[in-house]
Amino acid sequence: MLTKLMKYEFKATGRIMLPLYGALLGFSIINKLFIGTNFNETNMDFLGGVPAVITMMGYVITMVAVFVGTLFITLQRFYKNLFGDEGYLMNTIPVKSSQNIVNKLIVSIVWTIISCLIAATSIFVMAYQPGAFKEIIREFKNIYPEIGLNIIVIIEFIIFGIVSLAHQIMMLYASLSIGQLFKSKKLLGGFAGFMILSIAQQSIIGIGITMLVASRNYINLSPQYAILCAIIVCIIFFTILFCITNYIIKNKLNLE
Amino acid sequence: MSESILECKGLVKKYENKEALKGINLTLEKGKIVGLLGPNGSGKTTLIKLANGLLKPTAGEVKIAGLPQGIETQKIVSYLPERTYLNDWMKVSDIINFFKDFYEDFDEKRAYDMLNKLNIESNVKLKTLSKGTKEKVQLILVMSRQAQLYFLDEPIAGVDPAARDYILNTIISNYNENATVVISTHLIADIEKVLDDVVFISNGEIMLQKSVDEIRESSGKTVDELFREVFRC
Repeated sequence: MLTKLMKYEFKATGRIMLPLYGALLGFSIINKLFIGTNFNETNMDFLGGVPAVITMMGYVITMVAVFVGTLFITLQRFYKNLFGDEGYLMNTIPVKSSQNIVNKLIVSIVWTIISCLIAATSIFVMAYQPGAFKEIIREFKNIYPEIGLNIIVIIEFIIFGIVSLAHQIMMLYASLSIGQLFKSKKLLGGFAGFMILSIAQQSIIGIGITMLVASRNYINLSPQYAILCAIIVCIIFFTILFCITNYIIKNKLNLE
Repeated sequence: MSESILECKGLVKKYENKEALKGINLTLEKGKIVGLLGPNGSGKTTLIKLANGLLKPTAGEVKIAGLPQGIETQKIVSYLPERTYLNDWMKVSDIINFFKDFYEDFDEKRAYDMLNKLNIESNVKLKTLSKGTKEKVQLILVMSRQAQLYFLDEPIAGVDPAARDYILNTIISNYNENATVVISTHLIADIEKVLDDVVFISNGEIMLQKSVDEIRESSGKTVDELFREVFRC
């Protein structure tokens, strides 16, 4: 069922995201034509540089649109599809509420990661110079021993990135769901929910850190364990938020 | 045939400051076409939404085929809400595939047959269809399932009289004899001829539950006449 749900979710969101990606890469290539191989000598002679400035503006606007769009589909697909009119269908198909949530969560994570990769690619396209790859690899080799990162820490960082992204998205879902508990002004209720959840989490983290500092154990904490702790805390918060969201959709649904 | 398909016990639904349903006890048998009739705001839609899990009861319970409302009941209930839930960007064929994917009892061929009969093209986007046509598409989707219990909330309100006849015909000819169809409406005269039983609901309470034949025999009136009499303003 989850794969079927995801098929439709990707279709519904891809029709918004893919054109944006196409536009961003398109703009970055056109910009590259004006920039040439040297940033300092951007070709401003062609029609007084107007096209170069316009395409650069277009690029920046599309870049913003890609990330606003990613956030927008995260919020809108969850809210409209489950709590709006479309919810009349999505909540009556024989699918668990948790599957509905996981579906939207995974799709949203995937789009966020792709958005970042596309954005990085577009920057790279414009900044590319012959030999750039070699230079990057050489610099990386130089820097690598200096920071002293080992492969485990890098993997931990990647896991932390994904877990924390899932947590952030779950924050939005839980907030929107809490808003549903209000009789009217549900979006405002969702905003209030977001504030309360944020404050609660900040307080817990704050207390935790204070206790850690007081116990003087943190000095011995290696980066490896520090990130591991962060991942665990993130997963705990995520689980609580997921349960709140699922509980509300399963037991407190009120489509009016 | 007297097995029950829907059972409501002491069903209460309170909104902010009003009681939409005041403790409803209702049992519907298998194999009937039931008219759920009542004036606007009487609780018809609330009752149907509770049976579909879109609202949760304040008190009491709804059972379908002996099961509490949940995924298992959603597999055997086909529900037509009073509003359109279609994704505008989808094509008619997309939404048919969606139903095929999620409902095991969905009969694709039947859906395409009905679309053809009503001259609705399947490769057009739902966005381009008129409101009435969208309602027809939605009804076709709902009636193309081999469900045990159908809830049709105002199924004919938005379509023209000719299509109305066609729709009523599909309802009586398409459903299998063990299935129950609950039709909520206030356009009684139009559907009277297809009904077996009627349930009158008013102010969140069941006023009357009888078979159409009983009504005709005991009062000599049609359901429409009786309705107008009972709910005279």
